[in-house]
Amino acid sequence: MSMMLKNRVREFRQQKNLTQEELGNKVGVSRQTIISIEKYKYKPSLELAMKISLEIGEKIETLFYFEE
Amino acid sequence: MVEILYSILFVIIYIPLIYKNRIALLNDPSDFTGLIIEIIVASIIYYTVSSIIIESICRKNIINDERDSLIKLKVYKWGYIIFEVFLIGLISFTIWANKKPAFSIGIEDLIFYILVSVVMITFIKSSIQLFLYRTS
Repeated sequence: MSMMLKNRVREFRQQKNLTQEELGNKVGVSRQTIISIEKYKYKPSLELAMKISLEIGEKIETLFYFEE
Repeated sequence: MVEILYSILFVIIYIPLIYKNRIALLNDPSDFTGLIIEIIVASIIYYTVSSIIIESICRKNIINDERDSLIKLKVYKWGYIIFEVFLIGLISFTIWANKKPAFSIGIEDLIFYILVSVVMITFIKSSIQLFLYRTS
């Protein structure tokens, strides 16, 4: 059984009216990294995932989840 | 991209020059000094100009994050694998050439092969890096 790590970063980022660049600057990564995370191409480290969840104001398990 | 372009320019401009003068490298290395200095100066100018251009295009600070580090690690791993392939190729070719006197190779050929290998490895490594930046 393989599970894919997905996220709702785009959805919550848009709710907060943040651009990819703004979110990237707040958590200390490039816009390209945020784009890759939102497209599920790049799996962020636990540190980065926690920074994003703190910045967006959502629990990490709400933001990142496994899907079969 | 800068490294890919550099590799291509190096192959077009300097590889034929070095190939032509490779025998002089062993007989009289002083003949080669001018060419080596020219290559170093050209490389410094090339990298300085390209960094100025990149800085002026990307005026904002370029952020190096964990994704960049991960891509760099992957690229170095690939570079090492390619280096091993070239090294095995060189050893196999040397052994094979020593058994066939008609294809005997000198040290100048080996040096030339190593130089071409380094340029090729740089080119492949940079292409993989570009590919990973686009896809991962």
